[in-house]
Amino acid sequence: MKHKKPFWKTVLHFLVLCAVTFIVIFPLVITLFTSLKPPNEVITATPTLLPHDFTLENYIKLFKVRNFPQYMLNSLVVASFTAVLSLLISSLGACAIVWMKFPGKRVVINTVLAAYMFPQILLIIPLFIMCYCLNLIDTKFSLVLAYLSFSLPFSVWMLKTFFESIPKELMEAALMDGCSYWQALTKIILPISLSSITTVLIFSFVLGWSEYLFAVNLITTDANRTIAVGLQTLLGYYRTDFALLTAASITMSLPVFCLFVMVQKYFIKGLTVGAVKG
Amino acid sequence: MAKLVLENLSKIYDHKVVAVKNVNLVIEDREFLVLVGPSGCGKSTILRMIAGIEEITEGNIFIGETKVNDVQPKDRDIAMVFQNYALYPHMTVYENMAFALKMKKTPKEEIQKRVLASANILGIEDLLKRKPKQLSGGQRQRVALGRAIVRKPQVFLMDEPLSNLDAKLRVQMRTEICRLYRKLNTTVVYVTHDQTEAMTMGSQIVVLKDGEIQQADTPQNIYKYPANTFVASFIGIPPMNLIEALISEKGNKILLSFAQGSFIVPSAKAEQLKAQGYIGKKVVFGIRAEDIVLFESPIEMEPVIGEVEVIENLGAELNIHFTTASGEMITKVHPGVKIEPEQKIKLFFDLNNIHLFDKQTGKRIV
Repeated sequence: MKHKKPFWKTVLHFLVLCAVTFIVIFPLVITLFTSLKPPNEVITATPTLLPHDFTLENYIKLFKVRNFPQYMLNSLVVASFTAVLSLLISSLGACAIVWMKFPGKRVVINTVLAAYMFPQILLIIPLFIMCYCLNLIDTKFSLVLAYLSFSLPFSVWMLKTFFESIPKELMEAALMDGCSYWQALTKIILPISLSSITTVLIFSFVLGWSEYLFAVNLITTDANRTIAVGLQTLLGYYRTDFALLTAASITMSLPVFCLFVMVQKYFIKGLTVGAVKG
Repeated sequence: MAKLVLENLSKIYDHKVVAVKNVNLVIEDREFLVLVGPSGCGKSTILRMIAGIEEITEGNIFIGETKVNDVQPKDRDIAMVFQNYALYPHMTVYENMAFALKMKKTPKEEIQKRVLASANILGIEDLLKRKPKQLSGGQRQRVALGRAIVRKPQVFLMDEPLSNLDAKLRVQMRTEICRLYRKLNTTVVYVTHDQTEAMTMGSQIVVLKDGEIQQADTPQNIYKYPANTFVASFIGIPPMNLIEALISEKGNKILLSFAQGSFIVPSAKAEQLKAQGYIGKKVVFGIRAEDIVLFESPIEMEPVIGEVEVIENLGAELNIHFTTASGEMITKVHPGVKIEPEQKIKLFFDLNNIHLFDKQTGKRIV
């Protein structure tokens, strides 16, 4: 029997949620309003939240400063390729793990799990050496390869868990209806796996979009820089234009924010998939 | 249409678990064969090996003259109806039924013609634009059948298609499947754990236990002449009464005696018992519920005394559960018979319908 919550508990829960929301949202709010202030209003004796004069000059200046539009385009290319390749390879891998029999399957599963737990920072030097030997330094492709090395284990595991919750009879029915494994995957399994696909795409895209460490080491010229590294170039030695920096931060966040808004329904479902069997 | 031959078929998992053991079976063209047995007996595994979705460990499968061990499921010209329907949830009923034909690159007009014809046979023309989640259990089952029918396969495989339906719908669908079988006149291999389905639907029944065939015969023969105690107790509602008995010689007659009660074995059966050396040995005596007579008997026998434990009123008959000195027994009587719990009643047996099994092996003696 459901008991009605006492009023004071409801108020307490509300206050706690407000506090948490405030802590999460407030830095974003400050960043947004700072980006809309003229430079002379950013650092003042008495800090203010809202701008006295709203202005878009920081955003206009941003797209004229150095190669910021080029950085965004580079990030878009790298993140998109990472997301698509991650989905393609991980869906094939998960399909093989769940539905196919092959020698060494257990070894493959354990290797994927081990790779998933491997700290990314330890891969910097070996990946740099590999890219150097393959003449891939300062190419967007090197970044895609690097990001795939840490997005794939997660993606394979996520899709494997979801595929295991799909009744195996669906795959068997597809095979009996004349599908190959590839056709069964593309025509039957993936169309009913939207939540997991969305999770994999978002995770891989955000990784490719906002990653800094590998981008700063594998990319050496301005033309190939990604937005995360481009943002860092806005930090001056003696002085930093915070208005410009906050405008760049907001601009950098916008594509990911829009992506989340579009697919949030599927993403939230994907977070809890596989939590309960059946 | 095709004959199906299973030759020394075995399935072993991880080199240890024997799911199917050396099964030899011939399913004639246009036969309705039912594989029946308790959970874990290997019936679904056999079906899946025929379908090609389970690898064969040992043995061969022939469809017609062709050995199909290494043939892909899609190339075996077989259609399967799964226990949980396995309908594609993102496709409409029409698309589900058309999918296999589309994969074979059948022309659109031909697909439409066949889907509409199958939908007509099953009475699901109004459902073609719906998705599976908008259908009831019975409707989904029909769509699953329709998906199999449109393919016009050599063999239909059905893996417990009615087990997810309620009792009333199950009876209705059972009749529909039988009607469909007569209409399509094709080979069907049907798996079930429900012996009522097996008895009412199959032209041949194969009873399985622990991966081995216990008996393969017509429903009537399996009911009247079960090959061993497992088949005897598995087939028939209520199950056959099985109690221990002793075979002895009394003068020139053969006597079968229980902890309480005895009778002279009819001469034909007595000869067989003597010839097989069962005099002085214990056997398992079997008698069906409908072959037990209460109160008095036209034949001479010392009755078994039973105390009434439970009376199950099924409307058209009563199932009476007795406790006797030899163990529990069940009989069926007309609902008009006056019986009370804890009443002590004399039980007599119809000696034309007794069954005797070896105590060690469980195999049928007479």
